[in-house]
Amino acid sequence: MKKLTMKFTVVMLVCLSVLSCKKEESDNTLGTYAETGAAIVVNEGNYGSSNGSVSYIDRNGVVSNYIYENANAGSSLGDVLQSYTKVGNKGIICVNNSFKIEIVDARTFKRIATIVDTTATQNTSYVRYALGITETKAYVTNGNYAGEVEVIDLNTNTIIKSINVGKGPEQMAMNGNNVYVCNSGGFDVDSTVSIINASTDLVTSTINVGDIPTKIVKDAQNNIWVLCAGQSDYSNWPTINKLSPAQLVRINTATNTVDKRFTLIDAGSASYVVNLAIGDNGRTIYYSVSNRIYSLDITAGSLPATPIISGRDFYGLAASPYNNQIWGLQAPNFTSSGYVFRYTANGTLIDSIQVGIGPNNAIFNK
Amino acid sequence: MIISNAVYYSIINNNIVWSPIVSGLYSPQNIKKTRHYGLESKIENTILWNKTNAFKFSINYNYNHSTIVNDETNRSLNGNFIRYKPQHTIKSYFIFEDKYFNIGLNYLYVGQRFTDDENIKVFQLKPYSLVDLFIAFKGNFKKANAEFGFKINNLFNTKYESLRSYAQPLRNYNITLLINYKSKLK
Repeated sequence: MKKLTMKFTVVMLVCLSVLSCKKEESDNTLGTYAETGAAIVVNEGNYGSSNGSVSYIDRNGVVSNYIYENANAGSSLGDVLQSYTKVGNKGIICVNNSFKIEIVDARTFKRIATIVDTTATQNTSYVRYALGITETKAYVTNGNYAGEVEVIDLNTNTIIKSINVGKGPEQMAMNGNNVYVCNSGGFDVDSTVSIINASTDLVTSTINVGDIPTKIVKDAQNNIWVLCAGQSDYSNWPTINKLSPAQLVRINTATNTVDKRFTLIDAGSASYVVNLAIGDNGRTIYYSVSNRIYSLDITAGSLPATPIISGRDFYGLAASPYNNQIWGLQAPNFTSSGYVFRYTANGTLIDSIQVGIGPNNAIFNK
Repeated sequence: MIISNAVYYSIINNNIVWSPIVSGLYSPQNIKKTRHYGLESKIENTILWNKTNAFKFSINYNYNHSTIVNDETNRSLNGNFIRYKPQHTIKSYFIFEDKYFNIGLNYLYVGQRFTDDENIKVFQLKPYSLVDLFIAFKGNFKKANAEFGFKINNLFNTKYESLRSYAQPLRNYNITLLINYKSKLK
């Protein structure tokens, strides 16, 4: 009997150790946040309230909010979380009003490093967007007047160089070895796109596109589309007066010149434009004017007359390459949780998912 | 010995609550209808064992349950706790008094608090306890009474927040000198 008890105990111990091993394994593979087709939602948070956050929505639409806080013992990200970019196995989070770049493990969202640089020539005073150049190198736009692109070494997680570009650089896109940077003007006015050679880190040319270029995407034909918001007069808020037209322009990457130009909003109009996204494997462009979302085939010769979605004001717009869904990100105010409205490719509402405060974009894992 | 208990229950329409909006600024907000109930309990005693020596203590326990009953602007908030209201609070002091000095400590406990109307868990403030230690020397002179006090606030160097993301002082010291001149009324 005693022997049997011994045996039983040994078996139990073995079982327990196997169980505990399994548990450790599952802890390591907890990094599902990099799952293909799933999305990371960027929630800006309220200016000065330190409540920006990141949400994760898997391919079935199951949401996990506050994943950074949960992975990092409750520590907060700060506020005005502007963007998230996955580069290799790392995630780059630009936290605008906290003047920092957070580097996380894209699988677990555990913090790897924080880049805060306050030197005069290269700094993180107004970080906006990141772009992966290689697995170990990234660009980050920074500045609200004089603009820079900071070159980040992802091996050391430091800024190694600073490239001067136009005012208030925003989103970037890459084709071949060329990086296209939207110079939005920041708190001023600019109407150019800077082109940087990604191997020499030098600006090779600057082209005129239209006033206030903010968003940029690359299509299936390797051309670059830029959303120029146009200048606006906010002095009679909440009525907006467009001082210059909002435009959607195409940069032909073979010649690096603008070869297509659509006017989204005429000067003098009270409409506003906020968003640009590309879906359908780079063949369909989605843009929003006021509370309407339109879809445009990249080969189309004119703008569509009717929107595919209307009636809701969205703060952000995204298109899933996984199932061609269109996501509208709604921030009803910046003190309470926002929502992701999911639509099918033809604009039928599927559902809405509660996320963090002030969602501005969803980034789909490739 | 004084033992007192108070139970309260109130429903307030158009309740105005001062709560932080942005950057640590407080603003009055009209959050429609709220309900508050709770218990205030207090035990106080002074034990004298001779003319000059005494032991005094007071323990206050407060249970509070404050919730939003109806918010017209956002009904999904109904039933949520009002922000920055702890459910449990303990305030107490223990003092030993002598002819020439007082020595004692304060103990404060504040329970967890939500910092927003949606009661988001990750933005909740953790409970904290604080202990302050103090000693005061007393002198009685012909023309004046004097008291020299030395106090250590936050003895255990506890990290805590009263307002989210605003760190509160760690251990700090307080020195006081109090002189009361006696004057004869003519």
